[in-house]
Amino acid sequence: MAPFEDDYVPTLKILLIGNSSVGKSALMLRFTNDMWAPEESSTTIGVDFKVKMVMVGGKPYKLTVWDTAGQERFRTLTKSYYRNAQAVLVVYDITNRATFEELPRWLKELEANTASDIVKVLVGNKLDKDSSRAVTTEEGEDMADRYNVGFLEASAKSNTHVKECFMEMVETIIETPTLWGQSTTGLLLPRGDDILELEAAREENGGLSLCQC
Amino acid sequence: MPLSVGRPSLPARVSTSSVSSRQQLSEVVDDVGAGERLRGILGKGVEVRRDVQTLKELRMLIQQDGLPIESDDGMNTHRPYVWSILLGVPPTAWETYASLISLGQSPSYSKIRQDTFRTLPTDPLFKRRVQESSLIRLLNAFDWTQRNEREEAGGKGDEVGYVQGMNVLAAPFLYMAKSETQAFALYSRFITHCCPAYVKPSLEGVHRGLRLLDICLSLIDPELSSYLRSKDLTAKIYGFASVLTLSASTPPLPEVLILWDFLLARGVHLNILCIIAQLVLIRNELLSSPSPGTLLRSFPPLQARKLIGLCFGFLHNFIRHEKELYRMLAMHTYDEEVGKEIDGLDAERWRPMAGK
Repeated sequence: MAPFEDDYVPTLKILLIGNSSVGKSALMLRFTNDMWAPEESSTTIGVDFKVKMVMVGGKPYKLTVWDTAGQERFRTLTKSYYRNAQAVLVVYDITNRATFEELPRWLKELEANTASDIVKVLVGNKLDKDSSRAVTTEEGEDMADRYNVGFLEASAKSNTHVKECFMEMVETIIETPTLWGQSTTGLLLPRGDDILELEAAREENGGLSLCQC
Repeated sequence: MPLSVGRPSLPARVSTSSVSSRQQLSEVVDDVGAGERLRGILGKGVEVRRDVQTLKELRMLIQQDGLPIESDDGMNTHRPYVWSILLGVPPTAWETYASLISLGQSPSYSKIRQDTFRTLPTDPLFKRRVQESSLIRLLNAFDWTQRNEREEAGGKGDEVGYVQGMNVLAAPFLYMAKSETQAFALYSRFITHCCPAYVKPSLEGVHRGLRLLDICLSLIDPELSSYLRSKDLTAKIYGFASVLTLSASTPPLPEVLILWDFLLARGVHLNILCIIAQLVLIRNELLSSPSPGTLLRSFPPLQARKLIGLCFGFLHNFIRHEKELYRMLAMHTYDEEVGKEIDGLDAERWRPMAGK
């Protein structure tokens, strides 16, 4: 089926990165399934992913959320998932100072491996454990400012700011024209390699060219 | 088939005889039950591990019948001995293990602690039989042995240390062994001898295993392979945990033990083919699903004997034509030179559409 029919649903790719044990999988599970199941959570080995359909401005979007292993040994693997991601959540644990101090490493790696216009949000997770906080909100904000990324504190456990976090990213992606190729017919198209594929598919179908001229 | 030079060539690494034809296999079969044959083999005492003919019999027995299962939790009283024989691990003095424990927390300790409490969290059998403290001690002790060895070698060679997934690899050993010391000895041997490339820095061995998984799938089931590729579902996305943990990440644990009996008997590289067997078992569902990725998020519960049967079918049907590929498969879990060969492989050559 050609992807240009009316029922074509754009796919958005969101990536979760950050140190081990900061709650990346928990955030994903809370957002996609509204679940909190600490007794069932296991170490993510390699990568995990979930799909969720969302409606924005009356239009459906398919979100693929990619959850990666946090340990540095998995970095070569993690990097390979940056490709074609439109948004990245960089997660740390507000009760664990070390996970915050590792952020520059994650953020620099992100800068080096992704386009500058990709949506980036820094998330301080485990807000439910505010009393054992080891990183202040101001410090989180400063870090976010320094790397020019969004910032939010959240809790997968108490379901605080999780939806906001993901949905704001989705809206930003949709509002950022450079993350998309805008076709003459007004359809949103993913960029990069996907565009080439879609163009090829369209030409095969004898359809219109994407170029404006 | 070349074996590594300078280190003992144990059956668990490469079993050259796994390429034997069915006729050869059937010669060994007799009418005596598996349990009785097993007792006969083990009755020969500890020297069994040096007796090539008896070892062959043991491997054949495991491959054809499996160890007899004595209870719902998948146990076989002889398994700890069988694994000791297959891995070539002599009885280990507890003092050796105790001295490692006395070293206290290793540099990987905090990483280990982040994972131990969430190891096979949904497996009640594991939770019941294995305490978290045992898992912590075992992983911490192994971390020390790796560091000490590296230091003795003048700090040369690859970085060492705990990798996420090693916790899952330790689980079957702690679950089945008679003691923590025994579990430690078997686990250490298993990691250093059977799959050292899987726990190397940057996990090169796992990446190579995934590459081989993609290639083998395209040979074994071109239709499924093309379909998954069309959805961008490569082994890297669905197979990472299964490769790194040798399928121990897929419950239930009693079935993992049966699968591991086989992998230790015939070579851990066969896990790659067993993962393909997992895919083949659900191939109709995968092919008819518009988003097969959802199905591949977690594999269906392990059915070890089914996987072993399929694995042998694959071996029998494709090994004859792909000896070079099989050599790489057999050695990718431990051999660096073969690893580099795999890195240099032109995957296109194996694509079903590329004129094969």
